[in-house]
Amino acid sequence: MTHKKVCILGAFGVGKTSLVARFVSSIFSGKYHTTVGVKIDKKDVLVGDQPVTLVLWDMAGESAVSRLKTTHVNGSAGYLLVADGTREETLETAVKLQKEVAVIIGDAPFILVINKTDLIEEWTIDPVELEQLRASGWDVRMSSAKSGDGVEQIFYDLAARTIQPAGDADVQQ
Amino acid sequence: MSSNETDSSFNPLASLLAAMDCMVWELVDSDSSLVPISAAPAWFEDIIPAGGDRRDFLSLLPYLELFIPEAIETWNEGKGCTQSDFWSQTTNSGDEVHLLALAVLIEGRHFIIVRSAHELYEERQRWQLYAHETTIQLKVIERLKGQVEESARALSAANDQLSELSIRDALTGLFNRRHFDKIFDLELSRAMRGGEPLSLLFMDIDKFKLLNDTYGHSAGDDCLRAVGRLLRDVVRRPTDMVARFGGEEFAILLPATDGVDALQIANSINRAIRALEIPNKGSEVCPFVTASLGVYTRQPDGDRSTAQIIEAVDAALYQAKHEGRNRAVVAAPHQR
Repeated sequence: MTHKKVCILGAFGVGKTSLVARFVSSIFSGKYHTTVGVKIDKKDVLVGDQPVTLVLWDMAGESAVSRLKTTHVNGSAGYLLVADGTREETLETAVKLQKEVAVIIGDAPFILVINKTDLIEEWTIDPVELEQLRASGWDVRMSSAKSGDGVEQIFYDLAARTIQPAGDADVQQ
Repeated sequence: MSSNETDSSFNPLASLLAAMDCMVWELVDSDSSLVPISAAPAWFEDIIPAGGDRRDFLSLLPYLELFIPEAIETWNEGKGCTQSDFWSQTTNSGDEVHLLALAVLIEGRHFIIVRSAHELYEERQRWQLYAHETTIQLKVIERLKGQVEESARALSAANDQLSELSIRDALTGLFNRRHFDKIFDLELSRAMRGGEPLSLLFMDIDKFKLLNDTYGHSAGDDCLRAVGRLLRDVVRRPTDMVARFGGEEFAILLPATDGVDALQIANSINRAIRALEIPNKGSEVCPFVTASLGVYTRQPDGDRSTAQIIEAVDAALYQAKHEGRNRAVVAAPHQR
């Protein structure tokens, strides 16, 4: 079976681990567990009729005490940049990380995920900034690891792009 | 993994490492493949999926795909060992196992050791969590600090506005009586210290009650506002001051102004008010609004109290009224 390494990147506390837990195990815990180093999970999906094992590298969140270890993204077929809609500074972190990752692995497909739609009334991220990113070619999605909103589609779409860069493959679980 | 798969020449070390919950491989140079030399600890057994290949180490432990090239680079640099960052994997039972890898060079042979490090991980996690919470708190403090500063600025601006309002007459925008009293005290003290003259004009709009009765209070208010604007235009020096003293009465304080100039200003005001041609048809003085003024100039050796000066200028104003209004009268010597 084809294995595709996918990294999940973003500032600390944006919900990277929760998104993976929602996608892999369909579970959500409201308790915050900070990831140390990297957490690796696997999930088998079908891209069209091609079975693919996604090897999900859930990286420790970016912060003053935890910086992206650039070698960790080596070999990635694609990546998710995760930001927290309620913390506008996490979008800056995502944009910064994208630049760093692009230097290491080049033009790999990625999706910017603005997480926590369940708290959308508390969002501080500027929609204009998101529109600007979309206009520059970024795929920007909304999700809630808590409710599951948007989560599976994001992972499936990224899986499809790791196989077919055009990104219009028929993907099934 | 059975014990007969281990390397007999490293049995003591392998046994020791196995007892320490470690999984040990030798990296064989010929094809960079991993050859296990220790028995598998429980955590390793627990990450092998049902039907999975227990010898497909790189698939079972994907982190090693990154770590082994790093280890080889370390050895090539002549260093004996290196350690990985933490990584975690989910076991078959759904728990997490937290692992660390160590690459060591012993007697020319290359070994990769992976061990579970649960307690160490939790300790690091607690420290990292504390750091993250501190970062969030600092952000909150920064935001609150910004809000407090913004509130302080707004409060200061409101205080400034309130302070300005407290010294102004709402109708005309001129200074009010209270502020006049304060400034008059200060200017009198200054004049006494500096030996300079100080002039004061009192002005009253003639037949103002009649204007109110004839045209209504709104017209009266318009008249007061127009007169206020005029006085501001006529009295322009920064040290001069125009105040609405009350009703239709105004005070004009003219520091460092002698009697001749003060009378000239008073006459200018008198003429300018008449020239406004604000109708007051019932007045026997003139069909337009006029004003009477009392003029007082304090000489350097003159009166020493504001009360004496106000009494003198008020008397001059009374005299202007008594003499037929629409004029300026200088306070007589006995009034000074």
